[in-house]
Amino acid sequence: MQFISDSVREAVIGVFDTMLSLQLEALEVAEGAALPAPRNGGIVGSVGMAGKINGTVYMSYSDQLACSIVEKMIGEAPKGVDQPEVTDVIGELANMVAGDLKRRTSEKGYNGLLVPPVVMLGNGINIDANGAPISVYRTFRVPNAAEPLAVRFFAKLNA
Amino acid sequence: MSKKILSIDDSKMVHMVVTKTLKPLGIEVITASNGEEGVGRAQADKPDLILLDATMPVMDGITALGKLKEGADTRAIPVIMLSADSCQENRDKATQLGALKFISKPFTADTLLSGLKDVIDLPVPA
Repeated sequence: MQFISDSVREAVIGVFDTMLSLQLEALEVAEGAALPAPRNGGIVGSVGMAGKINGTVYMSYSDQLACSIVEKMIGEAPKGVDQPEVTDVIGELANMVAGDLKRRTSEKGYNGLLVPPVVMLGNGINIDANGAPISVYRTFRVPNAAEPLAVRFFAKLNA
Repeated sequence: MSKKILSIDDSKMVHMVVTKTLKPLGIEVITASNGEEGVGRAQADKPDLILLDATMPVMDGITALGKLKEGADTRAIPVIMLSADSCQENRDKATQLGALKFISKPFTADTLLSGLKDVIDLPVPA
């Protein structure tokens, strides 16, 4: 579990540093039953993997945080969180984080296929571990942002 | 004559980063959003090089790479995989099918340029 939790931290920090020149600071960390309930609203980028590791990574942003990240990426502020450039960037960042996580787990013998990213937005998004044996929750402070980025990773390793 | 590079990726963000990196060098970047569209564009536009994502809807990059290397009019076009899914298995599969390099996402402009320089002649920036 510690390896997975550390991998989530390294993957998120590495992707934001490389693609956005943003130095994120790891804040809260929780595992297993201690996971806090997700708050309503915002936008979530998710990517699943299936194989020797089955799991999904979810990256949750407030509307404001998502728009500020997209502005940093493309150089202009989006008109709203429902704009295609926002869902594209949020999806691709989740894809890169999941890819990095998959690379790290495959080096330990747990490889899987990645599926294209899915982006959800609006109220009522419920992210549940659904009994997954591995469940990790981490938050990250994003420079100049009021609210943190929240990342959840739920997985099962298969023999 | 200026170079033409085809970026096949389902993310506009990746197209944007590639274009922002290569346009100042006078390189034309054309795009496709999945493997099927990308194979068609490669046949029609005959780019000097293809940057190919692995995980895409409609047709994934590995399947597209196979089709590009089977096609008489596309098999000579150099292909660099540019993918978040960079495990050794994928790298080996891409190499066996004829990809010349594998660049992992996330990537910096320097990483992209250095990878391209290994495969094609790039114009020197003014």
